[in-house]
Amino acid sequence: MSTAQSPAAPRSGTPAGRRRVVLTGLGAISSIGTGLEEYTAGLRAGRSGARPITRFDSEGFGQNIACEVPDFEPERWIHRVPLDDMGRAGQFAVAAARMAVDDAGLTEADLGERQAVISVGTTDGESHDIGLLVEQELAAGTPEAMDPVLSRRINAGRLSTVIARELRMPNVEPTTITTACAAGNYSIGYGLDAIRSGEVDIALCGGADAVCRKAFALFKRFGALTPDVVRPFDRDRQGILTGEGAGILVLESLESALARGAHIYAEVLGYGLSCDAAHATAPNRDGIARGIRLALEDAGVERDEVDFISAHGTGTKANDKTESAAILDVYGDAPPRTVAVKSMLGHSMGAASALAAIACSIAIEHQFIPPTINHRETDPDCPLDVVPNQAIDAEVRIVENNSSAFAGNNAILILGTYGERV
Amino acid sequence: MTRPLKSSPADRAALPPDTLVITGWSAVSPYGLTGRAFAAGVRSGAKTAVAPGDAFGPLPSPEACVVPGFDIKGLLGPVGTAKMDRLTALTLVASDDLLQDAEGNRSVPTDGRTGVVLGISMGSLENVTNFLKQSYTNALPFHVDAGRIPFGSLNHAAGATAIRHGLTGPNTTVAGGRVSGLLALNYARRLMGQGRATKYLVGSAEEFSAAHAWIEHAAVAPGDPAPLLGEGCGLLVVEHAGTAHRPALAAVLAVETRVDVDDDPAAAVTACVRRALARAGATAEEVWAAVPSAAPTAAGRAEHEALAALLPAEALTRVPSMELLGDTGAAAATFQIQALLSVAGAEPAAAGRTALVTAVDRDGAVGCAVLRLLDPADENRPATEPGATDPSGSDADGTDPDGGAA
Repeated sequence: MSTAQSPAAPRSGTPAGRRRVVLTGLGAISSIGTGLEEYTAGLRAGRSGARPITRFDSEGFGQNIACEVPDFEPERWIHRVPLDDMGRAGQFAVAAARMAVDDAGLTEADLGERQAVISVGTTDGESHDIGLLVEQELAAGTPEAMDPVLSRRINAGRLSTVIARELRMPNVEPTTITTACAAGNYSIGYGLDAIRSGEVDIALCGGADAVCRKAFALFKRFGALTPDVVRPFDRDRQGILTGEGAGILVLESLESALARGAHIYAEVLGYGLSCDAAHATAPNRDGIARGIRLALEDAGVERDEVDFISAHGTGTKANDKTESAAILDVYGDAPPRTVAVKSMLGHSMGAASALAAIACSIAIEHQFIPPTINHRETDPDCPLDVVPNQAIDAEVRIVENNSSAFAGNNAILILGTYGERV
Repeated sequence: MTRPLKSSPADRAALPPDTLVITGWSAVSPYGLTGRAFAAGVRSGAKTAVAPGDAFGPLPSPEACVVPGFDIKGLLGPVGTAKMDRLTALTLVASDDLLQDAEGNRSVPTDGRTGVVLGISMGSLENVTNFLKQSYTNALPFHVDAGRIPFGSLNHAAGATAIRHGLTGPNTTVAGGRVSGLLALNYARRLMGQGRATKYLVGSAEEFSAAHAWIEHAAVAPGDPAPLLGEGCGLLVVEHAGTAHRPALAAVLAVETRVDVDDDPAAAVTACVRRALARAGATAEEVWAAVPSAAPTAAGRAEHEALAALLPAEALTRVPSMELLGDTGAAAATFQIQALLSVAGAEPAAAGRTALVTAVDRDGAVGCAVLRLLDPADENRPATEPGATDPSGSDADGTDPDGGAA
């Protein structure tokens, strides 16, 4: 699997002496395909992950669609830690981590005592289990009825530590990041910083979330749940579908990857974090634009070098309009193609920007741009080429991956081809 | 008592300009609403357990260590607080005390790259369980209180802190239970090291509520006692020594973390502490004070045994046990650092000495931070590097004649 690759000269904007960081393994569990091959096929075909909800009783909601992962078999990937030690989100996280290290060709002997970061991003963690605890209390009429096993596994920190336990990696920093719907990009950025610092060579980063009643009720109450399909940037968009899954990426120092002849999917060029400090839930044009500029600067990438943007693109009226304006603020009247993989995956919350980052890596690897499906007519407020409905073959060298969260948090990631660009 | 390490030129020269230093802190804790109350309480060694009162609803245990007099509207005003969760309120009150003087004026300079990172366990369980109860019991499952929804986001407290004080730098929430304060500190260290922030508000928070109490009651391991729960929020200002706006209280020499993959917490704590000391360039013998999390669990007992086997016996006696605050969950590790600073602030012999805190969490995370205690009355910071700007504009300590040798 290893390919001979010669190190390229660092790009001109890269600070001298800064360690370079590459992606050498990808693990994806999604509503449009589990495993890298199926996920790639789903992205290329423009599959929809929307299907009837099975996780919780959706009686009374007036709608019953979410983007659940079908036919998930945790025992295929989780061998060591009892499955009861984690909820659905934890199982997704561990399974995706196992896939990612296998894909990277890293054995347990390679990992072992090696110092590493494990950082899983999440919005809701095991909120499905919290829902079950509440059901138990209500059914019995007393909180004494709450299940000890569920009670012990609800804290979000477990999403990272359980990966360490399953992969037997004791010497790790288990930093779960709960910055809501931008958490996946936050985690990848943290892995980048940890490796750049020289303190670690390996980071397992990404995000995980599971469909739950809490998220469904919340977005329904906010009027942000679409009654049919997700149509990002479309004139008739009506909101999100809640989704789930996990994306875990193996970040590795370039030296480590080259030394073991690892396959390199892409280079993590940089990222940017900005906080709007303005509103608890509304997206903010200036905050998003500032995040994009910070990311481009950190990556040493010029605007005209970006081949496409993977948008936050939730499909809500507010997000898509605001995000489009921010993109135009940064890029001017001729922005890069801008696609929303949430049209296929729904909003998988903390997993969303991690799965989108994997989609970007796949796009670089296979030289295509995934589509924005369900698209009929582009909103004049979102004057973007969204690559409607059909993936296109394209030269893809540098990609921007956007994410934003409630509480005014934006995280923007820049990935690029490794080894070809001067 | 001799003070061999205090303020020696060699000691100051050992603090490079990019050393992470703690220059301020605040604590909303069972000892009270301010850092001053916390410091006095820690030094007194007083217990804080009380009957928490009817406002919390039925509880599984008669006592808890709650923040006294925590009236959200009274402390934060009527605007935006009617449906605010307790976790956010604890964090905002702590942030006010950290950043403002008694008149409400900003006393800590901030800029567009001042960051916030907050450690949590699982946010406000009271908020999320009440939301779900509404969904299960109201006429329709989405007839839930929209006004409470923003507070249910796990990153809300950190974001609300940024909104309240206009902090537009990196804003992050990390989850790791009792270790989360150390994860947050390391997060800030890394991002500052990469130039993403000029200064950080770092801390961790846990709220006491009926929901939290009942879930912890259910979660208690067979054989362990019913948990005495605490709550609060501890925040630190961390900066680089070379650009710090005021003299440092302590330098952060190392933060190390680990996961107990073998169900052997004593071995995990031992390995973590050894690595942290090595990273800090310190030996176990020179540790002046150590503050374990004192978790009321097998891991907590193992943590204490591991430290007792590694460190000088008196190190574990200098700071009163964190048991006095109850199990403060995510708030714990930051409170432990603040307990160290509280004791050191009243003990001249502490200046220049090495100290550490450790933490263990139910989910398997283990952490250790190694600090060098500093006397802020000393001119302990190095001279400002040539070309660096001092945001405060005037800082007498910047003239330290020996710092230039660093």
